[in-house]
Amino acid sequence: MDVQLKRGLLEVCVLAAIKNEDSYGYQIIKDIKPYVELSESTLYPILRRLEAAELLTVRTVEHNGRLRKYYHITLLGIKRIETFKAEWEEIMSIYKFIAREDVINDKT
Amino acid sequence: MTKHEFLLALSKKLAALPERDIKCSIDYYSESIDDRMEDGLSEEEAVAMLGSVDAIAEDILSDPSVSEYTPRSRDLNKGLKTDMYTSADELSKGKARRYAPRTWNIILLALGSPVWFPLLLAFLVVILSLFVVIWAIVISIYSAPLALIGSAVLGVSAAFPLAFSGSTSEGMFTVGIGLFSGGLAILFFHACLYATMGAAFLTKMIWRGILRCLRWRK
Repeated sequence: MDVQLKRGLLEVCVLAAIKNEDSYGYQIIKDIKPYVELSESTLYPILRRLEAAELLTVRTVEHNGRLRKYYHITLLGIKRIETFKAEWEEIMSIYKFIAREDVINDKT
Repeated sequence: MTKHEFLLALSKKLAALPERDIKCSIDYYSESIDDRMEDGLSEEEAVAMLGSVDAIAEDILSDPSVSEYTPRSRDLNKGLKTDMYTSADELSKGKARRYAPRTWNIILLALGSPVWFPLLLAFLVVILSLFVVIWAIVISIYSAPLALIGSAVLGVSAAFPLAFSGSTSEGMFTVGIGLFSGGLAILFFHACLYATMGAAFLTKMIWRGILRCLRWRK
C-alpha cells in the first residue's frame, strides 16, 4: 500500500480507537490489532502528529506507581473521523463500479 | 537487553534532539515496556518486541513533526480543510506556512509604530523617573550626615578663636555641639548606607521585573 495512504489511514484508526473513551499507547495497539498490524514505533510518530495538529490531547495519569499517558480526542479529531467516513463512502461507490467492471469482464 | 539498557541506548541515539523530545520518546517507550510487562511478558521479551533501537531512533529522527510541534491556539484550526490524503503532519506544516512569514510581522509593526512608539517612550520615561526618584531620595538622605559633618567641623574650628577671645564657655559649648554633630553624622551615615543598599536592591528588582516582562512578551 502507498506509505502516505497507509499513514493517513492509521491516523484515523488511532482517532477512532480513542473516540469513545481515552486510551493509552499499548491499549490502542491491542484495540487496532484485530484489524491492522500496528507497532509501537509506528504509533509514536502518529500520536505526535495528531497532537501537533490538535486532533487529540495528552494527559498524564498515575498508574501502579508509574506515569502513563492517556490520549483524548478533540472535537477536531471527531470531525476528522466524520470527514474520513464521508469521503470513504464515495470511494466505496467508485470501488463498486470498478469491481462491477471486473465481473462483466470475467463473464466474457 | 534490559529496559534500562534499551532506554539508555535510545536516548544516546536521540541526543541531537531537544531535551523535550528526548524525554517524550523515552517516556513513551518506557511506558510501552511497562505495559507489556504488566500483561505478563518478561522484561527481555517486552524490550525485544519493540524492535531494534537503531530502527526506532531512525523513525523518530526522520519524522518532521517531532521537532516542529509547538502548541498553537485553537482558532488557527478553523477553516483548514482536511481530506483523507492530507495526513496530520501536512496539516500542521500547512499551519506553519500560513503563520510563519516574519515580513508580515515587520510590516504590521512598522504600520503600528505611531501608536506603540510614543507609548513605549512614555513607559521608558516613567521607569527612568522611578529610578531618579529612588536615587534622589538616597542622595537627600546623605545630605543629613553631610550637614552634620559640616557643623561638626565648623563647631570644632570655631572653638579656637572663641577660646582665645575669652568666651571659653561659649567656646566649649560650640565644641560640644560640634562633637555632638559629628556623632550624629556617624549614626546618620549608617542610615545612609542602609538606604543605599535598599535603593540598589529596589533598582535591581525593577530591572529584573522589566526583563521578565520582555521575556514573557517574546
